[in-house]
Amino acid sequence: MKLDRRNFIGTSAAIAAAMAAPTVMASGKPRVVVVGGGAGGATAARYIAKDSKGAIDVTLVEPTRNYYTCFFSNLYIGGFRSLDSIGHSYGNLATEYGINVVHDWAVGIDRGSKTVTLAGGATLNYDRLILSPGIDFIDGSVEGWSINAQNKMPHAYKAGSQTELLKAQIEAVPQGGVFAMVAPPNPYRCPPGPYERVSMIAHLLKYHANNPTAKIIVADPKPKFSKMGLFQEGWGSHYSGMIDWIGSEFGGGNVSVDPDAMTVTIDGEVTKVDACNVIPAMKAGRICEIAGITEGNWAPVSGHTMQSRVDENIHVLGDASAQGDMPKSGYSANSQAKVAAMAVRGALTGSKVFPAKFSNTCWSLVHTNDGVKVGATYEATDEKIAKIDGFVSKTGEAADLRKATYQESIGWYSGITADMFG
Amino acid sequence: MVLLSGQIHADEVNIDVPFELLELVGDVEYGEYLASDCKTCHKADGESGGIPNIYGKSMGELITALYGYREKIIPNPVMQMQAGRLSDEEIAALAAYFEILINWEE
Repeated sequence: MKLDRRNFIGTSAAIAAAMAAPTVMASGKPRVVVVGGGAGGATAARYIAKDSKGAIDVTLVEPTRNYYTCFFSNLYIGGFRSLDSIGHSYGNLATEYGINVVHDWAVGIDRGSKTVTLAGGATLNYDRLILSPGIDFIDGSVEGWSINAQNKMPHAYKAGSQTELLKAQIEAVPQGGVFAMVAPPNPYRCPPGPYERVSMIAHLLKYHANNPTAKIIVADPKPKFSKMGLFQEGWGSHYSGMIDWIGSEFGGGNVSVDPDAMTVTIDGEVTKVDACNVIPAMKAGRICEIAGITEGNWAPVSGHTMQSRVDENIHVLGDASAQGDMPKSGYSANSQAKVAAMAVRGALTGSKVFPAKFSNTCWSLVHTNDGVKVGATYEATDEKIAKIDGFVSKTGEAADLRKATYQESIGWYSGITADMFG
Repeated sequence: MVLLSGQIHADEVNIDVPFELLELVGDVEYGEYLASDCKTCHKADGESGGIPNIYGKSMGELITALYGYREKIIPNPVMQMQAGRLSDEEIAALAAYFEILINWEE
């Protein structure tokens, strides 16, 4: 969409009119509570605090003191990053931006009285609530696996100790042993994530664990996946003979696991494995269900403001939201957070609101200096967040372009984490 | 001229920015909102990895670069896509915002 000035003024005036009148508080400043300190929540808290210049009271509720980004956690597995380099604290958000950072779990939401209850017992009042809890797993989506089995067969789809555990288990695979991944059905967090992970696991086995004869089996309930041609090209050229991807057409969706026996059964065939990564089907973080704002597995939102379709005082960001065409990614959540922050400030302080614009790019590393990317721009329609334009890396690209793409991803990581944590 | 892509320098390509675009007066407040999209990758304190610094560039440099990406004169699919949806007014708004940042810092 290209806006000329006349169109643009018309649209922004219409959006401003459609939004609730600024909240007038009997006393004190308007209050925003943000639940979840990842790419959506941390960015939203920071932008609201920064741009309202103290006019809005911002509380960020996040259980972990040291947050590990899910993006780039595959590069830790592959030996390209240290775990420390993907860990971030909330110190700057508290000291530089005056955000009230509370390390606790949100366990209850009363939409009538506009309160959030924390596991520690405290109650927080809000005028606007931003939920950015990421994903949870759907119980029973992989037969034989439950969260109780996550130490034997890690998901590693929330970064941190799970990622460390998975890496350690892969390093312990014996010579010529077998690693299996159970890939998730759509929609899920980070569409290229499982396949970048396969690449990084192959890299770890081949170059760091001195185990180039190990086998990687991927059982996938999908017939195709993000950047499939690019990944398969890289698997063939860098990790020839190591990776066996079994898509839905070949029974990849008919899978069960036995974490005690360490077996994976794919379309009736039982395989003994030395390590296994189960990435179950996903749903919005549980707090969205508790708030009663989900339909099916996700929380539907308006693309104009990221407001819940169920409750206009709640905005939902990132993976947990059902918004339309954007993939569930850290970049998407960061992009959506800026639109939500602008809308929340507009509603609470009367600041100017512009038409929502979104973008996303997902970089993936296949091998040393072999980076690929896919990206798109988006706009808000009344129905959804709709894709405008996009691109994807091409197979057969020159090595120097792939290296530049990888370098770009390093710069992006540095940029987005500064945009989140200050 | 310094360019925003790490791969090519603007003096290697010929970018004739229309006079009307250079003459537009940008809306700084709108530019600040649009610039939030840039900040996902471009760090405020300068160059990082393969992402060049865009802070401290003059209005002319920014307009030329964004126009060059939008018209696909300068390669890089991410920037061609990002600039591809910008109107002349939006390019002017972004340039005006970043120019003001320079003046604040001074």
